[in-house]
Amino acid sequence: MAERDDFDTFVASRSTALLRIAFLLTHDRGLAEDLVQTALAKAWFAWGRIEGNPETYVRRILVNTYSSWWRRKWNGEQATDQLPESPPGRPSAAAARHAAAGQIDDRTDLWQALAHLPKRQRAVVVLRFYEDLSEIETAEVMQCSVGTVKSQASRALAKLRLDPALHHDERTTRAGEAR
Amino acid sequence: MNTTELRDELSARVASIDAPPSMSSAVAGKIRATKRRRAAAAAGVACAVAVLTGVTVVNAGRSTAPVLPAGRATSSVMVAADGMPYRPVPPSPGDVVRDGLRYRAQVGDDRLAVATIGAVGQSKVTLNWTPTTTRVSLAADCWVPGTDATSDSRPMVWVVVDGRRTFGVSCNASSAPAGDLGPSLDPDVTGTGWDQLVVGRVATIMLEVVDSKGQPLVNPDAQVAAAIYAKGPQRDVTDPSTGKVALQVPQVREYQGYRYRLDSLAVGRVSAGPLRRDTPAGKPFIVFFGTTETPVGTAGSTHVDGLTDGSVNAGDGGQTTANQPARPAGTITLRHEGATPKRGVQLLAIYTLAG
Repeated sequence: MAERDDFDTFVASRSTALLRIAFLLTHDRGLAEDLVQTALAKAWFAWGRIEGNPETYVRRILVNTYSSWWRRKWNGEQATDQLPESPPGRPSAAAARHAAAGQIDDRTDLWQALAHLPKRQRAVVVLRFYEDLSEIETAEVMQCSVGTVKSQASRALAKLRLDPALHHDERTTRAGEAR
Repeated sequence: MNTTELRDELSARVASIDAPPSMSSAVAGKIRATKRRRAAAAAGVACAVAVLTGVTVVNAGRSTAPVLPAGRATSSVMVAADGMPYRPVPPSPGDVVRDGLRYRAQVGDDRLAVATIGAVGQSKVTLNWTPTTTRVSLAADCWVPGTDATSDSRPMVWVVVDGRRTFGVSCNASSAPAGDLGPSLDPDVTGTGWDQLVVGRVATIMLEVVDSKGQPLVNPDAQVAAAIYAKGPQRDVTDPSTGKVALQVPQVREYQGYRYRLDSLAVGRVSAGPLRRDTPAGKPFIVFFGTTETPVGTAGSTHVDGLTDGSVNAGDGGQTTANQPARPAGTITLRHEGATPKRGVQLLAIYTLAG
């Protein structure tokens, strides 16, 4: 069980790591700071009841809080340039360009593509490929099944248009972690 | 592009990000604010202090969808990338428009009360409004191009109500792209409306761009916009154990230009077991679900089954909106896993397409 006295030490030592995760989730420095502060404040109230490594618990709060913020969004005001502006059957110019290119070919596009991922998929990408958590650890943070992590990661990578062969290799490499 | 490059990109994006020295004090402030808010809620009174730090960011708050002139909307249904119908909303006489930016006169059943869009180079705007209601949402938009989105020194815009700095919102690091703006903040943290407003008394709400030291920022490319929307009719969600209103949900939501009307609402104590609602056949719909008034940091979590992407974990508090493309009739189930909090309300609402 974590001691309350340890909380300040945890904040001082882990804030940068948490802030980096939050920035990758929100893509906004201000929101990221607010997200970390909110998650740590929530953790403080439960600090005495945390069993094991508090970082896992705080990560879980961080991801859940991030999801909640996005869920509270003003509906109808979040259209993006992903939306087709022409009727079905007439792909947009942007879609045609991407189809022709076959992949997102520079880092600016990748960052923008990450921003367009659904929140759960973005969270999986950050936890798996930035934090290097295993599928089991990611499932623990996101409070879902390993299968859900796999499917969300697969969808996210497909949307990011990663090389299918490498995508396959990745799943093969990590498959043992779920067993 | 491979996963190694993805890892490199993620690492590179955050390499220069460090937590500010003020993080510990900021967290302490959040904790104090939460304590005050809980105390106020327990006493059943509005807590004016809580709103200082309790304003909830609900959205980046804007759309990049183009504003099309009237008559351009087609009768054919366009479907967005998420499988939901999409249509641009034509201009309305009550819209506030400038430089391609627009605050719509009505979003769902929420009506624009007052708005202003500053000129490029104008880093301060003011709204003077005599409230007819305190149940409002707020838009506070700011752009300062050329700034570093990851920097500590990123400008922000302060919302100053009657001379008192209330809260700040980070500015966008780019110039404002043409499109619709929308309310992004819900200042009602007590469930009784924005407690800095008084019906019938003029309120002066100023937005001012400041630098990292809190000093007014002069930038020839900065732009600020602000609006207040009066919320449309709401449905009360009552806590069965206390008989008090725990939350209000809108009777109409708007998503991508379409209205969705509250069709059914299930409410119960978290400890009372799962909630279920049938979903319509062949029509897109919106599911709004979650919990409120549950203790923070409880071990359990809320899940919803029956969504298009399977089971969704709604976490340990808050509400979720899930947009669901048309499909055969089905059932949505809201359930709680793990330790069950002794108090708290869960809710499950279905909004169906109203046209």
